Amino acid sequence: MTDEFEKNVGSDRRTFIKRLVITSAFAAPVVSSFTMTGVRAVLSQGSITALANSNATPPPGPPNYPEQLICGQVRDPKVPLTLDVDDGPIHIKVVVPADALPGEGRVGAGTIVCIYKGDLEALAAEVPSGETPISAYAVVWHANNNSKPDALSPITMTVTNDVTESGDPIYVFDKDTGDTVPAGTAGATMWEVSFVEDPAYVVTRVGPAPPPEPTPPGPAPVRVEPDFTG
Amino acid sequence: MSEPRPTRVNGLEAHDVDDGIIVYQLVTNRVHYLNPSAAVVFELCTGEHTPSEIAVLVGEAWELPEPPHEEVAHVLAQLRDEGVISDVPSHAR
Repeated sequence: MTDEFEKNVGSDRRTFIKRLVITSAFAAPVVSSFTMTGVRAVLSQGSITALANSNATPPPGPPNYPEQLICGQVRDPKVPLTLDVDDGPIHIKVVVPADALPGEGRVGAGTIVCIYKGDLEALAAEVPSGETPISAYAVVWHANNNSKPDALSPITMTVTNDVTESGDPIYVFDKDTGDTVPAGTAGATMWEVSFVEDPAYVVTRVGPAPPPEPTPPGPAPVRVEPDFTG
Repeated sequence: MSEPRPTRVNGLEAHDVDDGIIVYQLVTNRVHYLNPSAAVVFELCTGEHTPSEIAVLVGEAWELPEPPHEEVAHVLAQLRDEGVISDVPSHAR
């Protein structure tokens, strides 16, 4: 490092910048940018550095599921990962059991798991005729090499939503054909699904949709119970 | 026409980490991780240096045989696109 360089760095920053330069070989400058929402869970685990270093970014949502609600990262695979998020009056909880997905390894960050919200209007064209989408969420993940490993034990998603009624059909989108496939029925005010491949679900109402629930003001509170052990 | 001189915008929260800097941008609800060389570029965005000068200084920091002009221009464009830096015209100094 030359004196000329040091002169051009603020005196209060010299120690830190010098350490950065001395402790790293030169690599092309890289900026990894994320939305706060997308990395909120990751940040809570203090692992954004690992996330960025691995070139891993939150996986994109499936078609018609544009809104990312929350992401979390499996670091220690022995510890379950729980994602909890409120979407207005609706509560979504995803539980990744221990040893279901790869954790942090020598090659980079662990599997990143995200919940996406479906666009009910857009999904109307995808569901069977005569049915109307009333609730739709997808769970998407990818490992540090961008692969999408199947979970070794079922992941569960529980959606608590006053709009759903007992018997409302649940559909999952077939990954190959994109068609809706029946995946059970909702209970009163909630629906729950289990899966080992990252799926996109939609719950419908036979006939016209019920009126939407009022949304309380303010940002959606997010609760995360990460698998952070360090 | 002389080169503009990039400067950090107001409203950023920068935090030093072991291998770079994390910048929170509350206005845009974005967070940026800068690796060590990007962090050095960011530090040099004071409105005092042109992109070419920043590349020369980065080259001096790591004692590179040539200044990394292309790499620095690329990361400056990225930071500019994200609204983390803006360009101060030379005559405004």
